[in-house]
Amino acid sequence: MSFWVRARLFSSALLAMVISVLGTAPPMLNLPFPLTGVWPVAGFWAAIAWSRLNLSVWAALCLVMIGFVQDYLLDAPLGAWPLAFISAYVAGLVVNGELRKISDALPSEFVAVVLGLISGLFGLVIAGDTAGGAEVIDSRLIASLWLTGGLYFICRGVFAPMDRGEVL
Amino acid sequence: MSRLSRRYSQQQPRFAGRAVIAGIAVSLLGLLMIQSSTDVRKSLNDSRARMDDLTSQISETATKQVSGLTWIFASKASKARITELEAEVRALRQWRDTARAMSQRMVQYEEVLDLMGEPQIGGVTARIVAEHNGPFAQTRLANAGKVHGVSDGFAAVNQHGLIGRVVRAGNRTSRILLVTDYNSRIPVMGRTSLDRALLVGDKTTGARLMHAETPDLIVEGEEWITSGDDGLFERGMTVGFAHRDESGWRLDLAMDRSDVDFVRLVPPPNFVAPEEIEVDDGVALKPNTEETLTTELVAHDAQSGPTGGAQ
Repeated sequence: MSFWVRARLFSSALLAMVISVLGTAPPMLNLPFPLTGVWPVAGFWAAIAWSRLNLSVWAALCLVMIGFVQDYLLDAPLGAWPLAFISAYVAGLVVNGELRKISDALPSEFVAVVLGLISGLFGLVIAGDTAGGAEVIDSRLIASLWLTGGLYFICRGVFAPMDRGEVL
Repeated sequence: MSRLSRRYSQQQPRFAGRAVIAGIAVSLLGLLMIQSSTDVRKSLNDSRARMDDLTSQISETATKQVSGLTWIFASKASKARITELEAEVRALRQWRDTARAMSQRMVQYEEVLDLMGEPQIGGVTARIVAEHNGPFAQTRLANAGKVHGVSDGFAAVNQHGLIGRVVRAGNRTSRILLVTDYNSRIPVMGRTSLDRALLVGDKTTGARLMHAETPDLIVEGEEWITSGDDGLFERGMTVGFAHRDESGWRLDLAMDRSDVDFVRLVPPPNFVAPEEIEVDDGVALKPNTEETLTTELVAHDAQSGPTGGAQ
C-alpha cells in the first residue's frame, strides 16, 4: 500500500469519526422533518466504499477504530459497532467480488450498499443479543440506515477512489 | 509445479487477510460476551466517563459552530416560542407567589400535626450538550459532573417533568439514561387513582406502565408522578399522562412536550436507615445484641457501685 493511499485511508477514517461526533450535537438532531433525530452512520460509508477495493487489513483496523469511537459516543457495548462495520465490509467485499466475476454491467455497488447495510444491522443485533440488555432495532435506526444508504453515492468518493483499479 | 507455487504465493496474502478479519470478528464477539457481565461493564465506567467529558467538549464546540446556521430553519419558530415562554413566565410568577403562601401554611400544619414532611432538596441546573440516540441506549450528556456535586442516581427533570436519571457522572459531565430506555425502571403512581406501577422504558411508545396494582382505577389522561418508593427519586415529579392502547396502559411522557435543553439534576432523598443513623461523636449506632446489653449492664453496675441503685 502506497503512502498516499494509506494517508487517504486514515484521513477518511478520521472524517468518519468527526461526522459521528457531529451527529451528537443537539442542533443536528433537531433538523426539520424528515431529518429530525436522524443522522447517517459514516462508518458504513467507509466500510462499503473501502469494500469496492481489494481486501485490506488496514481498512478493517480503521473500521474497528471508527466503531470503538461510535461505541463510546452512543454508549453501546464495546465491540458492537466495530462488528457491524466489519460485517458490512465483508458483505461488500463478497458482493463486489462475486458480481464482478459475473459481469461488470451488474449494479454491484448498489447491491453492496443494500447487503452491506443489512449485514451491518445483523451485526448490531448479534452484538445486542450477545452483550444483553438492548432492544436494537427501532424506527430511528432504520431511518438512519436509509439516510446512510441514500447519501452513500454522494459521499463514496471521499472515502475511496472512484477508480476500481486502485488497491488499498 | 512452479505455476502452482506462484498461485499459492499470490493467494497467501489474501488468505492471511481473510484470517486476520475473521480473527477480528471473533475477538469482537468475545469482547461483547465478556461485557454481558455487570462487573465488567462497571469496570468500563471510568473510561466511558472520561470519554463522555471529551465528547461533550467536542459536541459543545460543534453546537456553537452549527447553531449559527439553524436560524435558517428556526428563526420564526424561535420568536413564537419566546413570546409563548414570556406569557408562561408571567403566569408562573402568580403560581410562585401562591406556592410560597401555601408552603408557609404547610409548614405550620406540619408543626401542628407533628408530621414528618418530604425533605427539601437542592440540585444543579445543567444544559444538554450531546444527544445519543443509538440502538443500544437512549441517553443525553449534561454539562455538570462531579465537580458540581452531581453523582450517580441523581434524577434529571426539565420544565415539564422527569426525563431520566444520571447513570454515570464524569468530572464535568454526566450521562442521563432517559425514561424511554429499555433498561429504565421507575416506580410511579397516579395522582388521581393513587394506583402504583412500574414505569418501563419502551423505545416505540415511550414508556409502559407495568405491574399496576389496581389497573381498573387508572383514568385516561391522568397525571402520573414518581412515587418515591425506591428512595431514589423525590416523590411527586411529573412523569406523564396515562393513555391506553391495544397492549395496555402507557404514559404520554411529559418530557416529550418540547426538546430537552436545560435540565435540573436533583439528588436522591437519601432517607437514612435507622441502623445507619450516627450519634454526635460520629459512631454509627448498631442494633443491640445480647452481648452488648450484658456488657453495658455490667459496666453500668460497676460505675454505680453497690449504692448506685439507691440514687
